[in-house]
Amino acid sequence: MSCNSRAQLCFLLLSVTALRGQSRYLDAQENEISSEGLFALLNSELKRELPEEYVYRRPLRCLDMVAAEGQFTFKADHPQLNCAVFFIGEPNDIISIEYDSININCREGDFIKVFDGWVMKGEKFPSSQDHLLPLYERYSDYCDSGEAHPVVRSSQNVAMVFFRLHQSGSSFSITFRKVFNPFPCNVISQTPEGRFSMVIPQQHRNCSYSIIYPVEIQIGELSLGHHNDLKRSIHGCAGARDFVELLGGNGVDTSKMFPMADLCYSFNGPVQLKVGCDNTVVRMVSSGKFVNRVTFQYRLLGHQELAKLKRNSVEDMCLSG
Amino acid sequence: MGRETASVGIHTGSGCFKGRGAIDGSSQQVAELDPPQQTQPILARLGAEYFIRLGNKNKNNHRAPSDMHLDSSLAVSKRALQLQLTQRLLEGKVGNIGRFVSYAHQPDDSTDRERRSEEPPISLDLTFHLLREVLEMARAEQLAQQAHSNRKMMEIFGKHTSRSRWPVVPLKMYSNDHV
Repeated sequence: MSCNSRAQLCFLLLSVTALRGQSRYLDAQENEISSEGLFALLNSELKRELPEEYVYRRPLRCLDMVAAEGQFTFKADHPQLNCAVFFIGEPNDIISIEYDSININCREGDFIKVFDGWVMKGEKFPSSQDHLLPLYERYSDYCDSGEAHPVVRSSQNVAMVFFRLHQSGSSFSITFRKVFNPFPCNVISQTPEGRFSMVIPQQHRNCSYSIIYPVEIQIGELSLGHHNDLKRSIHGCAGARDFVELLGGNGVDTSKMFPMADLCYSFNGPVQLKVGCDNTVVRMVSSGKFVNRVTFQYRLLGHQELAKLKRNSVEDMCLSG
Repeated sequence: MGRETASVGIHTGSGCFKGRGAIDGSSQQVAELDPPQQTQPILARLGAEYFIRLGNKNKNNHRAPSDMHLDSSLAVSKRALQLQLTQRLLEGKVGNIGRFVSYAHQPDDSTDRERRSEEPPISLDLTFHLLREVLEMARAEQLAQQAHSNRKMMEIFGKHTSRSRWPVVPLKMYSNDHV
């Protein structure tokens, strides 16, 4: 490569990495960018990790919840027939599970399955209405496709791994990573307090933000298209194709939850609602014609507030006020 | 001595009204754990629900101010005990974990996939209460790990920048009485 074209290539690379915010990884020691540095820079996922010796490792339990990136190993010292692990990331993450070393016997009925979402008490999150894939495509079975596809990615910030090992001595290792997702749709919040802005940029889909606590939600801003795109209707939200609903329920499936409020026109200025349910969801339905955005914050309801909700409510379903 | 019980946790039975029936239901197996000095915890299992029953049932009792200190330390010890029990549950020392996982049917016929019901084939029967517990534990683990990882990163980049060739500009310090 001639001196001039190499300089041009380096300049181009500098510009690209500066725009991606990763110039800090340039090794400026010898006043030259090494070829390893060049290729490593272009692989942003590689650079998000620490060197091999600093990867977090711990044993996996038969029933487990994992929120930290790292390598997790399960060793069966006796037959483990029904095991499940929850994975969760930040709202802006999607989950990546990579099979590292798998020592199981598929023919004997052992399996490792990754599910795209969470399943609890027969209900799944995201619901079928909110997820782009049909149910059977949301399961990835190592025994069917693990060799060909060693990395499985979720569509949102939660995933699960179900496994069964018949023989003691069987084991497997998986690496859990989080990958950045600029437009999250379908989130389970890790915390009972927080704030979030959900944007659906001209897509025909439904997105749910689930908080598995009873909370007070305060919606700061709702923007459904531009100001004049959606007129306020005197008939409420019936027939609206772009709206936000607040749901409450006792399961994770948003299609089985009770609507607490419907919002179908843009507004500024806080709207508050207390939802005394085990699961509180902000769900946005989008036709695809507009860029829709809702901004909200939430905080945990205390004992007194829950008791007051119960006193003031006459309906036999999740309490709201 | 009549010892009354109450369920503890973030949502003590005043959550979704629908759930209350299960909470107040009859108890099944009861296992006693090592009691701390003041109260005797009992781990009760109702179907798939786990509750810790401690202390005084009547939480609506009007409490004297002198009891407030006792209350807060009791609350802390209840919480610590709860997390410890969840930890033991996860490690398989309490009960059979496999009980939580149920199977609607085994998916083995690929041609039937299209007609398969919407019921997910594998499910986990945890209560929200237990789910929150394990989530909080996982989050604590993640925050600790993030802090550790940040420290390591700082060490690596610290070593890196100390070898850099950025020129060092000597600073001139002028004292106030310099003319």
